Amino acid sequence: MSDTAITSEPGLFSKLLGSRSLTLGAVVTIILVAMALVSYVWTPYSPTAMNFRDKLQGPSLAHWFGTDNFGRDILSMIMVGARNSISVSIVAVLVGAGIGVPLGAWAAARGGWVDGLVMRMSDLAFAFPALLTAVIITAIFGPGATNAMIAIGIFNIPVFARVTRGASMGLWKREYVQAARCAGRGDVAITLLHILPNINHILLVQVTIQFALAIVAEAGLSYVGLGTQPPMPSWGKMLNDAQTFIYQAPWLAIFPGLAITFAVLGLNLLGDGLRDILDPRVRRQR
Amino acid sequence: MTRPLLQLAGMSVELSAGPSRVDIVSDVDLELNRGERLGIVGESGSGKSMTALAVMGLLPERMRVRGELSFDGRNLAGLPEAEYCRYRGRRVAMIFQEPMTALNPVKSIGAQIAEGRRLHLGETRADAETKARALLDRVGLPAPRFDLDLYPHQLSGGQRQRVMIAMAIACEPDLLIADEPTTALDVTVQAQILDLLDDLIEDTGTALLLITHDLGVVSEMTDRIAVMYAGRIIETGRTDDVFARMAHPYARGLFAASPHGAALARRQAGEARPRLNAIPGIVPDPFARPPYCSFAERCSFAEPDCRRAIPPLDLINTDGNVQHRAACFHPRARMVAP
Amino acid sequence: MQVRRRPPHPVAVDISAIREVNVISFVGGRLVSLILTTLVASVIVFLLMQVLPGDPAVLMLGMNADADAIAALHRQLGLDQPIWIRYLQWIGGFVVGDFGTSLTYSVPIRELLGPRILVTLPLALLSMAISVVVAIAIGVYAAANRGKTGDTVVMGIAQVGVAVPNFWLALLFILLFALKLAWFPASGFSGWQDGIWNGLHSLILPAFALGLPLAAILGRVTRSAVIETLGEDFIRTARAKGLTRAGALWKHAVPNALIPVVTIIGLQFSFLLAGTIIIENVFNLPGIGRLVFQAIAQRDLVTVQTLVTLLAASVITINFLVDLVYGYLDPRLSRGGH
Repeated sequence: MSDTAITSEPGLFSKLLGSRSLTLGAVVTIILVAMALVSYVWTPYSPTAMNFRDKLQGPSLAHWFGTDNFGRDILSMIMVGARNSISVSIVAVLVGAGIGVPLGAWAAARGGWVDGLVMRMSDLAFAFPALLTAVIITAIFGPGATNAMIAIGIFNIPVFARVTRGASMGLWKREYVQAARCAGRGDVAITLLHILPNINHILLVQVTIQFALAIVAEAGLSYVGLGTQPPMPSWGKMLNDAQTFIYQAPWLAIFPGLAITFAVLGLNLLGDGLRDILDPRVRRQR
Repeated sequence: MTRPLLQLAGMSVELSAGPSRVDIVSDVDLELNRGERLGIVGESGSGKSMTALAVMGLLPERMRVRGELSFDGRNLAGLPEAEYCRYRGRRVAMIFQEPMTALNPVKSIGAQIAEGRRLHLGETRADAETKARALLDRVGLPAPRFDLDLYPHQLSGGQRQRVMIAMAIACEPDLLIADEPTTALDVTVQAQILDLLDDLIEDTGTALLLITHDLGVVSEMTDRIAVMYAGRIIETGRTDDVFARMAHPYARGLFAASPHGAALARRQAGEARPRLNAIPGIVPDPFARPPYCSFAERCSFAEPDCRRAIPPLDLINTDGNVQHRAACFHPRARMVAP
Repeated sequence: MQVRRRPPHPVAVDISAIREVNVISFVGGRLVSLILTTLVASVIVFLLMQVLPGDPAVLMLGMNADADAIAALHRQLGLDQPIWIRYLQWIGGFVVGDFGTSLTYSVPIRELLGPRILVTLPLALLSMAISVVVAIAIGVYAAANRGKTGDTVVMGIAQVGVAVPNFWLALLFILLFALKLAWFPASGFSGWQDGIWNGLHSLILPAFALGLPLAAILGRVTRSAVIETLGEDFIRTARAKGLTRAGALWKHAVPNALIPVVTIIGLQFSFLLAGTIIIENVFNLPGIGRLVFQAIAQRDLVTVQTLVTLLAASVITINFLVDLVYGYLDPRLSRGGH
């Protein structure tokens, strides 16, 4: 007795609406992006303006999330921090995917020693704890948002290389790819025309996962002082500052962490939802 | 007369799908005595496997049993799970169709055979493994070539099915259910496995419930058969009698569609060209079974009254103490085989 | 994975010999790749350190030191040697456990490592243990209650848990368990000299902060792995043998589901080591992570390259061990077969 006899397969549109995690993830992600965009034109207070009279105030109507030791408005800082987190993560994912996807596609197309080399390289990259690599890279090139982007981007490369290779390996054995090859198409053309369009859903899901990881990594680097530098607010740096005043002002440690969790949760839900819709293998199991 | 070992009386298997309920198996009456061999024959979707799983109490979650399903005088329908577990493997054992996937790949075959005895008989590991060794020898996997610590992937399909059989007979059950035990195997291996089953049943005196779509297998292995179609038994009786007469048109169709039947028929007709006759049409969906004979739409002998009511399982003939019955308003009379 | 093939009809093959050879070549092959990867990793680290800006001699002597003094110190530190000689000297010492001398502390790096490993290693092991125990508990529970309220609640919490950064969780733990309840110290490490419990006491919060987010990830993997194995045929076989639902779950589904789970555990170890770097900073623990930080800040090249290489080597070693466990859990990998 198969289930298909009982429930008819829903269309893509109803699936889009039906996936709870996708809807929830999309809403959270949109809020996050909107918050970052709004921060360019408006924040409740200036995120950098110090106001020692109002320092270390708890959450109130005037300051929803309270103020820090310089009297800066936490909500405003979190809004600008969102902008910072998102831009660092976008660049980091672009670096990772921009180099990793071609590498993985190349490995899958050529096989043999190219494949071996790319895979051994990524094995090696995985041997270095990702954050440690980032710490060293920022230590070499100096701390700052730009170097944090590069550092996080670098440890995204092997991830994208592996996913791309894994997903496209099987496609190269398909008849239509073989046929295209016989017709004299080059590896690059086949990859662009036949391979990438067929694995883009897998890459899209991976992008959301890596984006979420990049947000955590950026916060981690900023927390230890190697990421975004003051006065630019960043979630990780805010948490580090909060630790100094954890006795007097515990809310300082709450809101930036909630922001990170919220952002990562939203992206993860989005990724799960996309996978549910786009990957028929996973969908069957739910 | 003694009580039958297994008795199904008006047993149905009900599937609930959301608000709707539907019978996968409808109103089945079956009896099986100790040491007897009964075959259930039918196409896939006829409900024969679900009948077997109902006896094992292993129906999928949304299905349940209605009616009587007694084993050794005790009604098993609705038995608490913990008590059912004491029957399974101990009094009733089952051999499954897929030897490749039915064994746990990460446990040694010795551990898998010994497991039942340790569970039901409380044997120590050493005792159970000694017994497992003897069982492996018994099913034709002798030491030292076939150690207890081999893993399923190190065995062929036929060897794995022998391990399955060893597992099933480990606790000397009263009833052995074999669901298509040879379907997944090579033809040459099929015969060996059937011979082994035959031997074991002869030796141990266990009763056999053989589920198969293969008429050849059922004719060799069983005393009685029940032919199922669309969740109902449509013909039942002594195997020889049913094969000789095939009163239900569906049984005839099944016979003509099987290589075994075709070979038999061909020999009698003196034909040389092998040809299998497929039954036209499809098995009706359980959700869309008609309120009349469910074979009527495919039957070349159907008459108007066939579309009025569901035919009861009427008596055709009595051979000794076994009744030959068929659920057809117009049973075929001519013998198909001597 | 090389799967050794046996001829289809071996007459007299000593299977145990084949198995031993298999295990040895399996382990040997892994060991060779372990050593090679570690060597390549050390070269990369060494080269990276060469591009690090800042002359250690200048850093040690100050910006105003005269050229002769700097040159003398260069000679003393061996910095005047060609790069490959310096690498060979360093890695040669590395192999025999002589990691060189820290530039800032002017003590052998080995002496710096000793007490710090005694902080980081217990922290990492404790976090890993927390992660594995919690993950298997919630994963198996959710899988066994798939689709029910318990599953939804536990997996909802895990979904959030995956998103919580460990250093924030650490801050929350400090707020709740150190400041509010005063059960554990908010920072620092009391050392092992006053007994195991005293040392462990200051590691418990950091270990939970590190382990719980990992447990959330691992728990989700465990759940889907267990759900997948619960659908396998061999689970039905186990139930047919008389095992209860729980028995089949723990004895047959979980051991099979552990195979993918162990892979993730291996991958998480790298994550965990990176996590200790940050968590040691949050809790002000005198471990390897903090040493790495201080060494980078002070341009203590030899120390940094030694520490990073050691960390990389331990990740590689853990993955090697995971491969071995994998081979043990999945006999299809380490043992020959058809």
